[in-house]
Amino acid sequence: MSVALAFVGVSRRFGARQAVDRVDLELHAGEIHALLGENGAGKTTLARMALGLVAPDAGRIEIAGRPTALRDPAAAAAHGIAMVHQHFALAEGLSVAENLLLADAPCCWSRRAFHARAEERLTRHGLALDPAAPVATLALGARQRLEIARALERATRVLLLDEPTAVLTPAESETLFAELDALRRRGLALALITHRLEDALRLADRITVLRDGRVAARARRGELDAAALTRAQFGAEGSAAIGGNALPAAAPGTPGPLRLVARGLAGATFGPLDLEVRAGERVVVTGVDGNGQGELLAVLHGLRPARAGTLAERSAARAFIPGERQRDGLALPLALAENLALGRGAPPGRFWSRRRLADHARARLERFDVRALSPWQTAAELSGGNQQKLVLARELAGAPELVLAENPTRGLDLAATAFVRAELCARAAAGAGVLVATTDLDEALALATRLFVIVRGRLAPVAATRAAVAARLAELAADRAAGGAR
Amino acid sequence: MRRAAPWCVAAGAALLALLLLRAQGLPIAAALRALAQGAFGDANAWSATLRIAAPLLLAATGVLLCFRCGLWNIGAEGQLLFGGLAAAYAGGATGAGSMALLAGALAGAAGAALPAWLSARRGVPEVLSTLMLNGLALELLRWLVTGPLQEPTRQFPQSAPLPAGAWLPQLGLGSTGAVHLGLPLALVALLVVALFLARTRAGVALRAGATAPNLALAAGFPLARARILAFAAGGALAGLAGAVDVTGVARVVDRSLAQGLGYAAVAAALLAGLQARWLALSVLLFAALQSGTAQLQWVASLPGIDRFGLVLQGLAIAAVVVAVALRRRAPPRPGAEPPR
Repeated sequence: MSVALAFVGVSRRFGARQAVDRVDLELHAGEIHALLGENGAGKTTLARMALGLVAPDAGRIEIAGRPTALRDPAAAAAHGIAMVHQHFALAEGLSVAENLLLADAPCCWSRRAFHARAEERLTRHGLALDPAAPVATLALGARQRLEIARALERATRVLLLDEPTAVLTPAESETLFAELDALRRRGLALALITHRLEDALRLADRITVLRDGRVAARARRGELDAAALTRAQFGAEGSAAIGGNALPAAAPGTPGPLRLVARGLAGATFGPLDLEVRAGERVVVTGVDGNGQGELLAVLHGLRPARAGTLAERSAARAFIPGERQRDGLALPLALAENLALGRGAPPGRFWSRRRLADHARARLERFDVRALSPWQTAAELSGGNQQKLVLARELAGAPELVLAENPTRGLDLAATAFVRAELCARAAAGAGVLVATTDLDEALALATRLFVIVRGRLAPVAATRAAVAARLAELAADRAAGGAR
Repeated sequence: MRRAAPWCVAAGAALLALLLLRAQGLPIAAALRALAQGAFGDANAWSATLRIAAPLLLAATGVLLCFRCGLWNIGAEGQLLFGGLAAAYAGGATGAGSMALLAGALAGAAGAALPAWLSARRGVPEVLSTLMLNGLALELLRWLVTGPLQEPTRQFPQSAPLPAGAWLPQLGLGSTGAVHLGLPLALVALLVVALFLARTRAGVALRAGATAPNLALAAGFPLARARILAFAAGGALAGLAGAVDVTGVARVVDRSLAQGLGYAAVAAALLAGLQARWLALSVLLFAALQSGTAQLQWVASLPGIDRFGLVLQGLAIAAVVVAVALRRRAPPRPGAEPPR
């Protein structure tokens, strides 16, 4: 089949970060091409280039073999390129037909003719929807179908889909897959942006794995090796460089007292599951983002209510290191001293004098090596690594008995990463139970005394070796892909 | 550009005000002189300015407390009216100034507690609910002074004069003698609020909760309840402002109560950058503008001039709000988000 859209050696830098680095990629007409990768791997930047939202710093984009500059979204639309975004942009109060024909010239006075026109479009796209239904009454799968129909009004050549199964039930996903298959057969080039290997395995004719802005692996249908793809997605090198081997091994001998017992625990996105964490343990849950680990930690800390199940033996002295440190871990406009004062180890007394706040902060800033000019500068002024150290300085000071952390080193440089991991290990050695959820397999292997993989909110225990995790993830993905196909 | 914009707005507003004065047939120099004279010219002028500054500072302190906690309470005007009405009733019924102030604060708190609760538990935007309650409070005032609270002869749309026991003690200054206990009260309230926000766990947690609610919650702080209480405390300060104005100056309630004082309080808090240390100065500026325009009206004594002072004040408030909005970072355009 012919090449509909090609990226030729494209690069794009944002500030200090190379988001996309010399990527070659071809989207063929009549094929589904899965772009696989973690957050920040460069998938979204590539898609935005195709949509004319971001211009490449280097390299070029070719449409049907001809170099083309996509200056703005209108240019991309004119070339028949459109995208179905993960977050829908539908007018809730309007009907399906109104949403679909919103951008069209007014066509008809009668409602019946209007709906007939919408119906005709939907049929042409092979999508089943009631034109008269208000969008507010539609399930997520139907809303997505409407978004696809809207995108198809423009997408005559290339349709990009951003994490299309993220919000769907398994049954809805099946319907989507059938619809995408039909679009493929009509000769459209489809790009499936996802971090779910099982979706890629189910549908894709070609798979490209991105990691850190580069192509980490390519595969075609029939030569797909799930284990190799998983390795490429998570990355295989670098663990030694960040001191993974220098971390203390599991404490031998008898396990310590229980710090956390969850029985039949379930939330909106995870469970039901059983979990125990003991003093001195470093339990790690690994898996790609969006498999329920964020909510799991929030429920374990008591930040969100559980839907079912019980929590027992949970230590009151808990440290909570959230995944979104800028949103949930810090109050950015507040001073460092004020951010530090909010933890369990708050300064003594009901009224904090300026000196008491500053002294309290200085001790922690120094102990956790936060590079700051003054306790009174705002948290927003710190670099990412120092912000995370600030979170640790608040949460880990004062000997917590249970540490809950999500992606504790995401976005940090090597030195800060090593520091954070060493601190987590030190807390475990000092008798805390440590539970870490991470998408970084290197980190999981470096930290874990006990390891689980998490897929769609279910935990599966696994041996703490790269091969074992890769095999287990590939097995689970293949299971899901096969289960879906039946 | 973002830096220069507020100043451009201020200059534009001043220019517009001067042009309006010219249109009224007043020489600009004379108008400016009258403004300054009326605000700071002599002891009487100072007294008039400080008389306005006392309730304005109380209400602005309440606004500052709410805004710093991320509670956009635009209802100081209404809460001030509730407070003034309650003070007039309680002062008349008990004959005690302390009871009048207490009733005023409680009424203001109650007027703020409703939108606070609706916002915290039902997600009703407090900007809308407080703004709408302002209208309700104004109509309540108009009804009460011609109905249940009207003076016994039923001739004037105002309440019965407060008994002397309910008057706020005067501190003297100028022949009108109208600097009253409300001013030191307001300064103390400002100090307490400033220390609460900066130096107590609840204050810091409330401020953190304005941008990072999960942080405050993860630290075990009962954020939702605290936000309702802070909102009510802000309302109590506005209610106290109304009570102070009624018991300290007018000693009756009529339709001239508040007259935009609550909106000026919002503007003064914004002009101070929500910083407690600048609030007194910002309030003094707005009070001076108000007392100065009173003098201006008297000097000018032209037809239609009587509402002109309110036009100038409205212009100043609008200019401050626009300037603050311009100084803020523009929200990112959809599709133009920065890289992660």
